[in-house]
Amino acid sequence: MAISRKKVRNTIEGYLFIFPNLLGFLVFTLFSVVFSAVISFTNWDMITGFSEMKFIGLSNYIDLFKDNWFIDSILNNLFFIAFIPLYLFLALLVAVVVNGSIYFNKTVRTILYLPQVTNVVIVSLVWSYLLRPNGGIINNILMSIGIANPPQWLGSTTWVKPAMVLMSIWGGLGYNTILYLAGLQSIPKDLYEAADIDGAGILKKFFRITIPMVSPTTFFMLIMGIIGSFQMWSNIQILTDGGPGTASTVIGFYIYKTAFQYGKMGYASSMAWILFIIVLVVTLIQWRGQKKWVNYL
Amino acid sequence: MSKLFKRVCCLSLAVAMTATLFVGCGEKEKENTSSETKATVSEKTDTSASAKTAEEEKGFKIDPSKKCTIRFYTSAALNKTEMDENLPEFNKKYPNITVETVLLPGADYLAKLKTSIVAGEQIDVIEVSTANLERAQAGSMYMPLNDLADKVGMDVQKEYGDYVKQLTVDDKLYGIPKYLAPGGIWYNKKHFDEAGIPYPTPDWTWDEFFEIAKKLTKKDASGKVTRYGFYDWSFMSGGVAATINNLALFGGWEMFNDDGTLNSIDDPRYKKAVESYYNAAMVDKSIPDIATVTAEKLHYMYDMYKGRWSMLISARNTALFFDIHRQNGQLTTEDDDAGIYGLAYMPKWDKNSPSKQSIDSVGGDAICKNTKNPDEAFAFIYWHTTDCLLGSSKIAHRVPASRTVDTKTLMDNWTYYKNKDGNIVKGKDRADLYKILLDPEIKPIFPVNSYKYPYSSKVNDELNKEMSLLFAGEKDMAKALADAKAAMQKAYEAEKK
Repeated sequence: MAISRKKVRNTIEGYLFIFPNLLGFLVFTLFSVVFSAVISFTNWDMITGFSEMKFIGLSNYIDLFKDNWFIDSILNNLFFIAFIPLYLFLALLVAVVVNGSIYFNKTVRTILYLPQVTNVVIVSLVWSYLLRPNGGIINNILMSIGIANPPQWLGSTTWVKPAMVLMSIWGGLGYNTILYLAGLQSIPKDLYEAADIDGAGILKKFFRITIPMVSPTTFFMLIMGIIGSFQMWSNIQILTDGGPGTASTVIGFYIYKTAFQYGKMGYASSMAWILFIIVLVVTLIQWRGQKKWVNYL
Repeated sequence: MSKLFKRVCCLSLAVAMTATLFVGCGEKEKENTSSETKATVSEKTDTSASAKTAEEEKGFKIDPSKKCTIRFYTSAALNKTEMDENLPEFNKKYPNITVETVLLPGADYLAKLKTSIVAGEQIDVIEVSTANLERAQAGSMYMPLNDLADKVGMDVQKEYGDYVKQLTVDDKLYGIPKYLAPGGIWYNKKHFDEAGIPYPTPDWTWDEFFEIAKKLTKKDASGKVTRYGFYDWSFMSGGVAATINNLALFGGWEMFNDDGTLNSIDDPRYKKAVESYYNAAMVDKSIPDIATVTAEKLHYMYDMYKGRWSMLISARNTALFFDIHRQNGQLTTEDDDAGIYGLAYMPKWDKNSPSKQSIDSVGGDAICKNTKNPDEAFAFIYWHTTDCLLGSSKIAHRVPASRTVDTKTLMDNWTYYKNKDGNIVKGKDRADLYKILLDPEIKPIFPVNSYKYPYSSKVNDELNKEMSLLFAGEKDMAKALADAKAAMQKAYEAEKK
């Protein structure tokens, strides 16, 4: 009986400790999530108040799939997601190089990490100068190697997304490299020694030991990268405002515009829920799939 | 004892953390945040001031024993500058009214404002403008001012002319116009002289404008443009559709009719407007194309000072910033002394159209529907849009919308500016430019219906999407116009239901 009373007391104390956080979660997260789910079935516009709000069933969800802006935004996000393996592969390559003995190792690591700590507005403006169609450094280089009509980059529906991918690779390389460096350092050295004894070359060691052994890091970065891609916004708003046309409009940008510019909170909430479902499904697929390719020691 | 002490500590900690969590949610009535400036001088002012104020003469009757606080929400830092300078004058008239200026900077001003209203913040006066007045749900945000104006005997039409229409929705006046963003064409006299082109007259037409722009455009041997004929301020700031809509407005075309129905973009006036800009950007290269504008983040005036273009479709009140630009080095002393920048009236649609038409948009003040002090708020906005504007005109250069403001004093004050040391000093006499700026013969025009309906924004976005593809060279004109027409109609029908 005495033990049971102690248990109860401990439980109460435990709950008291997490109570502030729990209350914050209930009020600021759970309530908002449930509220957003409810208003996604309404025509609520925020400003007219709840008296004017009407339940409209699944209309918002049905309309979404007829909305070209929404479909284009999702497709643009998927385009950016398709390049995540490339981001990760490049980061792993750089991490392997930096992990070895190179000159000015710490300086190189610092330089690699700099884009991560630089203000996104500054980064976007610098890239806008680099990507200038006339007189920009990138196009000047392309012209000097014989490309007479280099891309219009941010002004072209074809090239605006590759330009964003280029920016994202540069901006995220340092962070991804640091994570891979941590992963590389946890690989037991004896695996490489054994491979050396068996006569394995650099490439074989990279593909047969390094890649499988950093797979938990890759898995984590893949999930975070996909979620991050769906949250892309700031550099797009600064550089292209989603254009030309809808070529660089992404879902986060369109949700904000729908909610605050068009005043359609209900419709914007339904988009947010579809986005949540997409991210959930993609994450579940990855979670299931990871058993086949992620190696935990 | 020790266990009890531990439990008390744990419990106190939990309560304190919970309380802290919710402190941020409460309304901060007394706190002064970094973005919020509070200026109260009522304690310092002489409450016995008995001289009749302009407001009293107009019939404003404010109970001096009723103390209240007016919270003025604005996105413009210049409003804070003005208030810092002039609030003591307001408090001489109304010692019982405390005014707090709350700055909400950024392009999402309206979104922040709506959120604050829904959250129940005390908001009394709201800065509004032609572009950011919430017309679709005006009654949900603002208080109609017609009755308040009648109560004090104010004839708004007589005092502000047609500018009141820009802050009126369905015959309800939601804002008092304060200042103008008046349209005009700046031109580089040196470039005109070099090309042997006479300076613009009030009777020039848009066809002549585009022709002159073509002549003023310079290219090198490889065909690369070294100087554009013109630049349009709205090309970057409002999107390409807004630029074309503005031009079509001179011909009388607007996106929506008075009854809210969609106007056709098959209209010859709209087509002519598209063709004029398309030829300028994509054929003659007399204006930077969208790719260049987007990538280079061109500045309409600073790049004009650099000689990158010869004409600029912008605002006449740029004349009020020349001294500041000169001080900051964007405008060179030589160019300014030589007076190479001339100000022209906006061109006419065609020979038969009226001259001196100009797209003049306004900024002003509205009263929030939730205010508990409408009379005090109205007295404040009347003072703010008249006496305050004049009183701060040496440091906050603005063109008044009110016809009652003393323009002679105003023009004299405009010759002053605040230098880098914070002192008010006299600048160059620019009376010739100021006269054009305040020319009473100018007839303001503006898009009456373009922002008015709940679907306006969405339909305009559809048009802007197709126009941006046309100007990116991704679609030909016929296809872009056809696609725009279909998308606009679809959005209009979907939103209208």
